[in-house]
Amino acid sequence: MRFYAAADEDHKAQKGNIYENRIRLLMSNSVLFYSLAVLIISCAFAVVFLRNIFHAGLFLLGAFLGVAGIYIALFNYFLAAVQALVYSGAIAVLILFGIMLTQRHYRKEDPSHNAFKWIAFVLSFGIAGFLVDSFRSLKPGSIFPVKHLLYQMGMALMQTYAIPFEVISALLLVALLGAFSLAREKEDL
Amino acid sequence: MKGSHLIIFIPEIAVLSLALLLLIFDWVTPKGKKVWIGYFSAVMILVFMGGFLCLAKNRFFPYAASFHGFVFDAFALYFKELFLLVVFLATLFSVNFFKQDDEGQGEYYALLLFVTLGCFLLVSSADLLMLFLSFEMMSIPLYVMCAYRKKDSKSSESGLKYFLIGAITSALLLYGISLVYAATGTTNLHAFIEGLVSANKLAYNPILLLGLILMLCAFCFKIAAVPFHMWAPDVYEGAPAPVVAFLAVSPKIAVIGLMTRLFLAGMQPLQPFWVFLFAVLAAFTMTVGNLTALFQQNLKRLLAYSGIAQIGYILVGFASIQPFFKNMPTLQLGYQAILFYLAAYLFSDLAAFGIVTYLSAHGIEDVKSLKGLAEKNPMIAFLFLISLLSLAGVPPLVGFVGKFYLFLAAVSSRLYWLALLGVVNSVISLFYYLRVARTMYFEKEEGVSIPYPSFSMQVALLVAVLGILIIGIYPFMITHFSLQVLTPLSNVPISHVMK
Amino acid sequence: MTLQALKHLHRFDGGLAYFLATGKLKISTLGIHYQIPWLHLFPLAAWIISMFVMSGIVAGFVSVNVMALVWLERKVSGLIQNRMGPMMINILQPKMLASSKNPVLKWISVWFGGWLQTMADGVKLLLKEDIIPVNADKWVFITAPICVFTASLMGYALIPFAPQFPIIENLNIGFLFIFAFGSYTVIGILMAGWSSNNKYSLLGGMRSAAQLITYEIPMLLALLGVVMMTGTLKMEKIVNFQRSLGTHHGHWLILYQPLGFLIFLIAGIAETNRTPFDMPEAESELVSGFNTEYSGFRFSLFFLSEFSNMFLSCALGATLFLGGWSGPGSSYGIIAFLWLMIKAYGLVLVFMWIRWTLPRVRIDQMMEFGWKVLTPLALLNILWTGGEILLVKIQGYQHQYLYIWFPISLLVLAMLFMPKPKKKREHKLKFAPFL
Repeated sequence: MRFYAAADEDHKAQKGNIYENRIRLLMSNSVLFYSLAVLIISCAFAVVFLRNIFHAGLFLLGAFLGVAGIYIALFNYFLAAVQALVYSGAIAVLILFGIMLTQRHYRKEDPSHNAFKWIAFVLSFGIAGFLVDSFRSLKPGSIFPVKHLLYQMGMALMQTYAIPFEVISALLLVALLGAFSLAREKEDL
Repeated sequence: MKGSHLIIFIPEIAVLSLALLLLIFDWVTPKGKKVWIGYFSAVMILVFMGGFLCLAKNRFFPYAASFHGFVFDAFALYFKELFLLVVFLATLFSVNFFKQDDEGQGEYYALLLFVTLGCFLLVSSADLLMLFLSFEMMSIPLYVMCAYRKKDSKSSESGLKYFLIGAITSALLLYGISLVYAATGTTNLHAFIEGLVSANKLAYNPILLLGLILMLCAFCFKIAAVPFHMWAPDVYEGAPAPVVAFLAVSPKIAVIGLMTRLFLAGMQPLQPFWVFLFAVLAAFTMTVGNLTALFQQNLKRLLAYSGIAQIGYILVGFASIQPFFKNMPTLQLGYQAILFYLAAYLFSDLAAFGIVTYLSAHGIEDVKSLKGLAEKNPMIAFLFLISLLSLAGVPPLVGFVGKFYLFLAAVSSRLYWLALLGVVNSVISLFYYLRVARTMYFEKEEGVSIPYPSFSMQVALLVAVLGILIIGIYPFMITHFSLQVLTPLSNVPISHVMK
Repeated sequence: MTLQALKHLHRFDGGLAYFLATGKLKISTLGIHYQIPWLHLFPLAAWIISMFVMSGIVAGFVSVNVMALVWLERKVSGLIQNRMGPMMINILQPKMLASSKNPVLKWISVWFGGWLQTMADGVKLLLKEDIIPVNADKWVFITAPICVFTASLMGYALIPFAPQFPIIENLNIGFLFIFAFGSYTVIGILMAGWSSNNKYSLLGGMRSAAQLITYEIPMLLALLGVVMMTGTLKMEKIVNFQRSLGTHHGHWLILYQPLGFLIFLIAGIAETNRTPFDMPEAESELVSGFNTEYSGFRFSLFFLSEFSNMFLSCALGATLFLGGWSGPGSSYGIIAFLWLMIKAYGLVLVFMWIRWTLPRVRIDQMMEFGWKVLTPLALLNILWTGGEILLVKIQGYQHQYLYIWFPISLLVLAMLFMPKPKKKREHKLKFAPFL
């Protein structure tokens, strides 16, 4: 019985994969990348500027999906799936859930205003411009897929990053404990 | 990684298992009989403190070892002993703060230990990933503990405020980390040093600088340096007093320790950039903290602003650090001053907050209501006076020695203006500390005497005040230690140490 | 055409996806090399066209399949609860069939009577007035059913219906993809619940989200056992693993993962919002839950995706636990496909049986069951799998010895789910699920 055997074979057929060839073609034309970028950025703008908070949450979801698309374009399907599973499936759902639980005035426009709106606007665009300018100096990385990606990620998690991995488990325990002691209905201290 | 390598994780494993044990004890102990959990935790922490010291003296134990972004060295051990001291005192403060039949006592002590675990990991981390995780580990239980009095709206407000600020802090930190990673291609501090030293170009990379500034902003939020200090008074005011005592010391020490490692060791080649930054930060933090403290009426707010000023003094130490020579130990006055002042701050601040905890249990929250304390309870008034004078930096006490070292370091690296500003600030701070003393001693008010503190509180206050006095008179027991701790980032792979 | 050639009929080089993407059809054994002219000159166009064609194939398959499923559902419910409509509606005279003494005609009348009911339903739904409530959040209201339906369609791309017939091949994350994009169902349901501007819809949407998140955890944990055994996430590899285990037709993973399969089944029922876990659309409490305000075609999209989700769950279960397309004669593509359909439909029947037999549970009971029973059991299953692997790796046992786990597993399961002995029952229940 060959346990674990299949993991090694996962990427043997990588080279001949027509889809990846297609995606590579699209990436080289930058079509895929720029369309995803437009999707993400427009969704992000919608999140910031929409006054209806539920709509903003939905557009946040769109932005998450766009990021998952970027991961697919970089051939990291695992990260794409995790992005979709964790960010859209859990975080965005929790956000929407929270809105549905707390929003009393149904579908009213959010009346809050931000006094520092213009400062924030100038500052964020300044940083964005600065980043765009300085990222030109960086070397572009390879867009070709990593061999045995899942296998390598698993090994890294269990060997190189074993300590952070364990710390994450303790962190989750702490978060659970904290949530439990805040949400408990008993007498407080 | 072999099983024997686990030896460098002994402090973390010990604290984690104690926390889990407390949770189990809380579960099995019937309601109303949970006080012993706190005492048990305090005793175990004492055992750990002694144990780690013996461990460090053991000749089979590595002096310094690292394992994939986790560093164990004398520097980390020094900080770990400080954290254990803080959590020991905070546990003792809390024991009688809670009523007999309160729920969730075991959880509370476990949360204290989890924060301590986060601090442990933070000062041991030499990897940005590890850094972020331990940062979160340190913060999340504190949000919960600030809001622990659920029926008190001020406590809830404090918890929520701290959570929001903490969330922004984490976001800043992550953004900074991502930019640093984009610029350097690594998250490991050891790799940074090599990369930065070998390729001087990288040092002037704008992305790297922006990332570092964002990370620095996050750290400043956590240590409440001006202009990121607004949250501290509000959070301190609402949160339960023993939590504040802990919150005001442990995370700040941890972040200072991390900054020492990150900036002094990891970012050594970038030193010209951040020295000036730290000087400005220090000047603003000291001045704003002290000037605002002059007008405070609430004791916790007063101590919050005083804590901000103390952080300003510590930042003077950062500003006066001279470049290491190829990461070799040289005489580093600023660096030693930081390490010493952290211990001084720990004892003075914890003593003051311990007394505030005790007073708030008897309904005294404001400076005004301290009237006649010297007659109602002379012992407490005296201890409070000592701790405040130590915070102000009056000679025979530990605060004076700490400030002396800091300003000496500033002078030795020719930051005369900063040293002068620090001295002026110390004088300003005397105003508000002595105002409290005057209220206690010279303003009379008739009233019933306040009962003496409980056994646990007595022990805790005694430890803190003895620390202030003994280290103040004989500072060399700490300076001797901080000389040993000189290499802030040792890169010795664990496989080389252990045969 | 020789038998040998027939055997290789399914073997396009690179599969269906290759043909659709490149326009090249190569069947080496038959010597067929066909290429759609000019297509290779426009790779982007070819890619986009292939995407559309594949989506069309999936959508077509789903629609037809759902028709059959709806009919079967009503059929089973009719059999179990003696409903007349789905049993009788037919082009032929039902009475004539039912009363005839010919056993064949009788059989036909029992099993194929009422097949037009689905058609009638569909026509009714399409002819209904399409209502969007005045106070609804219009665009969200319109998008919600599309979102739910798309999410349910995407999973089909991963199911290996036959050897070398996955629509997306070589996706190294395998069935994780199904769960990743399946989570968009929740979003769609939340959108529907929110935008309808109706408190019952809102409650239904929130219940649904809570339920889906709760049961996704034990489901993924249960499937972790499969991944641990096979060492891969790819569906194709998992099927091949099950084939390679045995001498003849393979040993299904259900033999080694009985607990995992049970958890998968229960969580699958909860994920597809079916009784006894149909909280989101509990008629007696919430009118119709999140789809209360929907009508006409939009409602039919919800309806369609509900059934397509159910089939997807069953096909996934069949692939991961029941050997997928493998079976006697599965080297012929069409037979392999039939095997998968048979297994999946078997699971579908189990789903229906459960739905029409068990009453609905309360929402708090359901959440409690998910968190306090299923999740710990799923963790237990991981431990168990670790034990199995240890047995093979360290002890060097042959796989036959793993059979020893099967009775042990059954025993443990029986102990876990054994009801506490209460009063003695007055009469014995007969095991007669279908009549």
